[in-house]
Amino acid sequence: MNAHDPHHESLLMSLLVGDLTKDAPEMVELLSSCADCRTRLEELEGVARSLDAVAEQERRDLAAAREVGDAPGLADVDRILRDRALQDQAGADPSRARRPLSLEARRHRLARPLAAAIVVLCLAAAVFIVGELGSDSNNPDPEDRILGTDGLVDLSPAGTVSEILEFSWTGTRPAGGSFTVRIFAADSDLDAEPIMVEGWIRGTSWTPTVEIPWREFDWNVVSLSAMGEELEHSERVQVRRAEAN
Amino acid sequence: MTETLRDDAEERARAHRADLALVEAVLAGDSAALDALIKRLECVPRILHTLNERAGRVLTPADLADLSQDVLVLIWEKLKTFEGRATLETWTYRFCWLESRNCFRRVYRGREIGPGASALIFEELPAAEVSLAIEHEAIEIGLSELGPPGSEVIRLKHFEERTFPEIGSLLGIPTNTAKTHYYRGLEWLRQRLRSLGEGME
Repeated sequence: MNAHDPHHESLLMSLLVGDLTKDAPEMVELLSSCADCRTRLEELEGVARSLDAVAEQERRDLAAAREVGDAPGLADVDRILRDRALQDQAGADPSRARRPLSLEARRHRLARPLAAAIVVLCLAAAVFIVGELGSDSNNPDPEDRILGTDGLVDLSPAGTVSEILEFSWTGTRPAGGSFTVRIFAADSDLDAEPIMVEGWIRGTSWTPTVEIPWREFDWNVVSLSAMGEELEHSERVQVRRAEAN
Repeated sequence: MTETLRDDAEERARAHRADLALVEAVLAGDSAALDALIKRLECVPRILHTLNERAGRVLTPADLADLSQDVLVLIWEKLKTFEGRATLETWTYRFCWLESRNCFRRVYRGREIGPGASALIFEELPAAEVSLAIEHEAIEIGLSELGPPGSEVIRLKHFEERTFPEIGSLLGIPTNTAKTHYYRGLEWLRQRLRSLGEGME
């Protein structure tokens, strides 16, 4: 606040909070004798008018919103909020957590023979897919398994490609969350730090805006919650670019 | 007239207390309260739709659905900060407004425009609409920088149309202290809006 006569300040405040009116003798005298106060009052009343205008707009928007029937995203409100409530309950009571289960854990839950048969078939299919992707499937690290019911699969580019235009995958983005693509040095250890990271991806693909400089590398994709916690990650996929002609 | 105003104020205060009780019940794990809250928060996509319409349909329906999801998650995370000083819908509106502004801005920059997405045609918006949007943004920035208790007193005074005795009672401060916070906040906003205005020129 600018240095100003404290008595003038006090009178301006009394006017703005409604304790005095402009035709009160002390106000008439102040406004006729102090140009600074006149300017300041004008500006302060302008701020108050702006606040009223914004508040009025807010009320109009809320009234208009009440008249809206269907709106994009309306059908998802229930699911999103129940998911969040469930996650919060899980946080408070870990035994109630609905978290992604490892394949091992899921297998244990399926006790019935029919279900067990389905699991065997799924595992066989998973082994086949992993083999096709050409990753380190001979001795997979348990931490590197595809987790969750909406597992991150179908990663591409995979294998040998000549030009990388887009990285894509299949999976459901967590409510409010995002995906992160991590690129690792070719054949690096599973606990190696990535050499390139692209985060805050909202779709299920990423088109690099700069050329990927490495001829060989591995990559995977991670899904993150709205709070930035890692929820699941895909296996690593190898990319080996063909030599240019 | 005075009687009507007092009735209105009491009615609003009752509604705010009921909303606070609803939120507290949800946070305590009450499933019936969760059902009721979900119904109330269906206002989020509707408010976002309204803001988008008013801004000239900057976002596509798919963008809006995405934004609605993000805002709902944000509101859920902030639910414990709801203090019942406004209705749930008014409290929610500020999240919708701020997040939609951020989203519009990203679209303006062209980062999230995908094939077929509607581009911003700012020039086609009415001048009054643009002016109000700028004013709204400056006020929101100013209030968020001012912070409590000044911003709370100003919001209660202008947005909730509370009297100073009501504000004092709500915030647990003497009426005269509420008036002082209001005046200081207004003075602070005056200077801040002036500098924001100079920055925009």
